[in-house]
Amino acid sequence: MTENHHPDKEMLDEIERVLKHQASDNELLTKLSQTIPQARSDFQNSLEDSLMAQLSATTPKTESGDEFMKLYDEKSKRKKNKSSRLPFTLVAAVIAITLIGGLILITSLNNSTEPYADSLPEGMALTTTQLINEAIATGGTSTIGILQEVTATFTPTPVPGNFNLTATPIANIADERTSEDFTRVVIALRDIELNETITADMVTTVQYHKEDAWGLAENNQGTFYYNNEGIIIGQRASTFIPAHNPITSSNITETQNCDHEEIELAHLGCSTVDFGYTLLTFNTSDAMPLVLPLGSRVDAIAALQYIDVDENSQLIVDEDDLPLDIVPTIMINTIVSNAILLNVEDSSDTITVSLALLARDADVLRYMLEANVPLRFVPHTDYSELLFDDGISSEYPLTEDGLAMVSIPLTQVNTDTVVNIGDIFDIQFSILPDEADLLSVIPTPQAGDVTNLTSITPYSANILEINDSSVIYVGRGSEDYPNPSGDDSLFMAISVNPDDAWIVDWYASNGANFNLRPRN
Amino acid sequence: MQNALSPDEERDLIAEIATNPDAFRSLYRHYFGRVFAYIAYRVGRQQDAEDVTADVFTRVVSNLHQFEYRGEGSFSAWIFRIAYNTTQEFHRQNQARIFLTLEEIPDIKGERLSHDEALIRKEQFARLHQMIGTLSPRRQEVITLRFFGELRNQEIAEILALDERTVASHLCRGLADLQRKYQHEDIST
Repeated sequence: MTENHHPDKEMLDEIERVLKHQASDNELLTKLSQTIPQARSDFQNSLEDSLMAQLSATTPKTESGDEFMKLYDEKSKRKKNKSSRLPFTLVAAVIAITLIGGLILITSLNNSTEPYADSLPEGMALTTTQLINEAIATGGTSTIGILQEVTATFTPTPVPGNFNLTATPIANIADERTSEDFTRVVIALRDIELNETITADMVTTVQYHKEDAWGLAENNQGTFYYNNEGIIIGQRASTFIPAHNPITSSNITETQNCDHEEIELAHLGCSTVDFGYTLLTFNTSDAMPLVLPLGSRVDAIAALQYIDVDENSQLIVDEDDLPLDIVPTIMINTIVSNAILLNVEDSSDTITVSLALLARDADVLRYMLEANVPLRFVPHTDYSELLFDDGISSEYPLTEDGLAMVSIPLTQVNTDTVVNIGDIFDIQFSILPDEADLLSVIPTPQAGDVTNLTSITPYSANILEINDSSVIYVGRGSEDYPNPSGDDSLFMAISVNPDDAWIVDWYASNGANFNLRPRN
Repeated sequence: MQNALSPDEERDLIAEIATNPDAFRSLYRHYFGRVFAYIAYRVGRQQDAEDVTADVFTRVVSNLHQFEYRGEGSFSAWIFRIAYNTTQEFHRQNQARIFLTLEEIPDIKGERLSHDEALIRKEQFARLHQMIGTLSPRRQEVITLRFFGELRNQEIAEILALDERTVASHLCRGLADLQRKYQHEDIST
């Protein structure tokens, strides 16, 4: 949908006018434009002086020949994947924490503050604290259920970016450093195309100033740089890597590209998956995949439990292993988005799931599985896909609080608790897929099904969350609360923000399942 | 102290810093007001806003050598990404301050405001700050980045890793929410 057809275009234009200091009839916008905070001039000036002094102090470095500012070369057509930042920073945190955290904890308990660089995997240099910060920096609560923080007893502590773990001794290159200020970084000798398998003639190591090396992870959206090309050779480029650029973990993947046929499982008929997807099969204790239609899009949600080890690091923990007086912080986060559920096998003691997913997401998921991080699989969330769809015009009865009342058939309500009028819940709901005209065709492809669809890429689902919704009515209908189905089926009426009513109603009428969580 | 910069001037200044650190001064003056206004609306208290703003620009200077110019808007997106992350860190470390005393409220921009007018605007800021704080975190970010960071939807989308249409929707829905709360509380009186 173009901006011209945007249902809120009038409002957007009004905002534009206000920001250009033009008069507006909208009182709120006018008030917003009249209440722009302004700093004290002495603060602004003193900060300016301080920054200039700081900047001047760092300038000599450029005169010694280091590159100071990199202007983007548009001709290089460098490609980056914006959307995978979160999963990769998370996995970095997991790797960093699981691999070195235990040692740090032991060290910390022994009243030593020096981490052991030897605990790093060979050839890998981590900017641990930056990664953890990045992973945590995306935290917060969201009404669309992407991320939420729970039970924060120990708040993650931001740490300086100089938590130096680069001094990893690499057997074959340990003595080749010319100065303690420098470290080795693997770079590409030539352009490496997406999906190309990396060979020895494509890479080399060069000396990098440590400060610049630390910046690689942050600046390149990656999480590790490498100081031994041996660890990279044989892996596959998950992005285009321009010649002479450092290679970070966001550029490569251990996961090999599957042949198309390997992903195209027989029970999905003629379904195909997007180019670049790969197959990952694993065991899980989460039963959710058993009830999700094969072929549907799913997200993986990880519940990361961690404690602050010291001011520099956090440690992912298993709650059972913790002393009673330590309460971990739990962070729930979507670590894999929009994977395709290809197969689910349920044996007596385990559930085996096959997903088609982006290679880098496969890496993330595999690391999470290896770290025994609890995972849940839910229908895919993509809130933005629904925002401008039809269906906003419906009218809903308003409650005394000015909230809209929406009815949901009780057959679509899942909850572990008894629902009473006046109870307040957080409601999470989802549906597959998001296009109504596909409903009759897609939900559960079975072996032997004949379908005209040549691709399952239109599959998409949305999972949304409404916080603090009150239950208004539960029953088969009455004069005040007529049954929306026109029969005597049980339904529940809830109050929601009027803006959200159409979404809830849309999902309800399309058979979505609603998960109710009591709000304490 | 805020000076206007064309995209070309901005690009040239960024390149010039390598040899002439003084070039940063113009960039600082160009962005300071917007960054401070955005942060002030996010954190509320003047003292906090100053602390966070100082932290943001210190990080900007520390990381300037890592910045890659990618065309118009890339520098502002980079700065505000740092501001956004720093503000997030602040909120994780500090209890949200919903209610502000008059002394804690930053000064409000305005030419030739009388003492009474300045006070009224401060009160309006406090109420709007409080009301914005009741919106979902995403809508809070979008509204403050748009109005006080003066960023375009496209830039906000880049900072928050959202689709531009999603930003537009959050903006409009957030303002609609705010409008309801505003009318409800009758702030205009």
